[in-house]
Amino acid sequence: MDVRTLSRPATQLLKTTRQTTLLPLTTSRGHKTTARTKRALKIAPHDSFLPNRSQPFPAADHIIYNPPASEASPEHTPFIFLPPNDPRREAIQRMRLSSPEALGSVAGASPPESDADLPPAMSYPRRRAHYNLTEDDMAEMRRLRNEDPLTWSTNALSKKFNCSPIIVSIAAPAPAEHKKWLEDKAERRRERWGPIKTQAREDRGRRAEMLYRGEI
Amino acid sequence: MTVKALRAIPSGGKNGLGAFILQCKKLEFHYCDWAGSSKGMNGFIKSLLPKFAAANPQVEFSISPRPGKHPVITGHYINGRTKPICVRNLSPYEILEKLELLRDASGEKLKRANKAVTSTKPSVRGIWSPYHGKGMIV
Amino acid sequence: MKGIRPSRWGGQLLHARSCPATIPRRNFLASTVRCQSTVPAPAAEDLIEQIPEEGETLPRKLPSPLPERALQSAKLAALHSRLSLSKKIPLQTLARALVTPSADPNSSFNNANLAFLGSTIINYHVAEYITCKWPRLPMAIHYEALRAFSGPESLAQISRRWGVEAAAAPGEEVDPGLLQWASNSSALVGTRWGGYVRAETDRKHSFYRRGMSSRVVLDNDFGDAVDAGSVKDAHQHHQDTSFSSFVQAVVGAIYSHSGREAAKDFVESHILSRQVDLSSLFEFQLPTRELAMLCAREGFEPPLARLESETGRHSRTPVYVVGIYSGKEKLGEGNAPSLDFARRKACMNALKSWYLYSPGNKVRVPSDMMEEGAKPWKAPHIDIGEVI
Repeated sequence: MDVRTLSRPATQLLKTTRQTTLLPLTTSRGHKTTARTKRALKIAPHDSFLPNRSQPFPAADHIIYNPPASEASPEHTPFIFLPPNDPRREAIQRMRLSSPEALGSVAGASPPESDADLPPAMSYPRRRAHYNLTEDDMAEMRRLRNEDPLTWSTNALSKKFNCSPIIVSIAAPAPAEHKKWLEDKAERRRERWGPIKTQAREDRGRRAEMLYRGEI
Repeated sequence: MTVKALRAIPSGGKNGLGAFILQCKKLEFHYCDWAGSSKGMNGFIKSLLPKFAAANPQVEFSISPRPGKHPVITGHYINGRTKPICVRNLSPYEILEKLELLRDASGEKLKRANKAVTSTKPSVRGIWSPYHGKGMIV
Repeated sequence: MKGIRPSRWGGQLLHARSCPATIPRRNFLASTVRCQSTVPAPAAEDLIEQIPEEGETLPRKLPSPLPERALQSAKLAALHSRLSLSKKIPLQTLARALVTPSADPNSSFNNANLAFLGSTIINYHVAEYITCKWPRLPMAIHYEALRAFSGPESLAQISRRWGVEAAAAPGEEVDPGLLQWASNSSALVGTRWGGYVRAETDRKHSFYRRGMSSRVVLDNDFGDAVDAGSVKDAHQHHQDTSFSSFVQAVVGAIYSHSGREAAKDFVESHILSRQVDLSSLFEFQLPTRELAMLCAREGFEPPLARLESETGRHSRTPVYVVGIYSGKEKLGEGNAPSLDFARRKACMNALKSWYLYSPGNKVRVPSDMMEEGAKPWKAPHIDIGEVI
């Protein structure tokens, strides 16, 4: 520790970049007081916090900007959620045009140029409105469903007509006796579950509720 | 309508933010007419207390004799705690100092404050996360 | 005891007429022996002549201390000074603010009228502040925010922080500086001010939909159904309403003696200065669907979840950070130990950042226009409403 403390000013004189860290960072223990421990563990501020020394005189006006390495709080309204008459909207737009890199990764940062720069999209079932079904399609869907609900299940129909299963369940609901049969089948399956699986299912539902209340 | 509301009662305001309420609500004085240790206290009650009471209308003062005992000042606070101080053999001006101490106290137990700032607000910069930011080259 | 100078509190606020004229349906026994003012009313003698003969019998014990005893109470003077109340507010009014209807049902001597006046002022200032500061709050959250600032529990907390103590039992002999309330009283503690009793309350087992619109129209200031009884913890409820009625009555007294501006300042410094975390009030049901509907309504591109970073996918404790994007703009992000939870959390954060939009910390409220020389009014942001 002593070596490190002594060598730090010397290294900083030699190199402006943060090379001090090549020295081994060992945990230091055995300081007798909190104050001494704090003093010993004090490190120099990061370069981004230091004033701008690009020109010696007169000193340039300089705003230290160092965005936090933390999750954005919901108190910060994202750019597109700002209403049109909000002054922040114009300010962010101006900053995006003049100095795009200055905003870093905050809520108002300029979006990347292309989709390739964005993080990878996740695959999950989501709403994609096609509006491709006609009246005849609906009638056909209903006919197939009534004829043989077992073969023409919701998923099979949604694949055939290239629409979402939710549209099928609204446009062509199954006959009541088929629904009853499906429910009984599911019930029989649930009865076969042991205590561990039942408990796990219940816990999952409870966790989702806690998530929605913001408790986890 | 998919948003429901949860009920939450705020844990409490911060005294001095918006309005300040003096935490000492009552000061009790006990003295003895005969005993030597109450000499300073008796002088204090005669000479300094009227002025002090007039300067501190927020506090309720009550004075009562307690023969054969040392003189005591007790502060009663809004949080329900009390602080008694024995003022035997003290001079009136020393008692005044004790009284100011009692008046300015918050009534809480004394705690060591080893942080420059204690706040109930979340940090402005958020909680550091390894998954955010560009990372500091150390 | 501290010397009290009655000359300082010389303002005899209550130049009201003596009681027999003001209380029509009260028993004369209780009302004739005490008067609100020590100044005799001009027509008092004529009125006393009309009192029947029973009035001359021995007076009964009074339910609350006499108003003139307020000047002798050190507690009351200290409370007055602790709250930094103006000299215009006499001690008698403060003493009256401490008498709840459960202790003294006579509305000429209890704080019911002052508390009603105060509650309307408090709720008005809090509601206009919430509406202007967070214009996009859904109505359910708005009600809970209002309750967090000025609900009975919060106001009771405030009055305890002022150092108000309750008397063990109300009565004529207690110090006027103590709050007087009785938990076993048959009188309603908080009289029902706002709202209507719903027609379906007496039909116990039938199901009626209680939507937000009917809550706005029929229910009280906090969107709660008005019905007596059926409170879970009745004692606690009575205590809270009694303590909160003191705060309301003090605001009412400030309004009637010192005016509108003083009452507003008092509400701002004591009630609006409290720290309320609105983001903890939300409970979502279908956050992903709600965000998709929001984007469709506002004409944004449909939201898409993108995996920003992850660690430990094959371990027992993975962490996924998921961001929600609309086109190339980021709406919010969340982290959780599963991809699905992280996506839902990100949607919740995005929705919260929509609902918690605020034009700024120092918003102008409509009551600012009542000041003299106020700048011309600029309309605040008005949102089209919550996502359905």
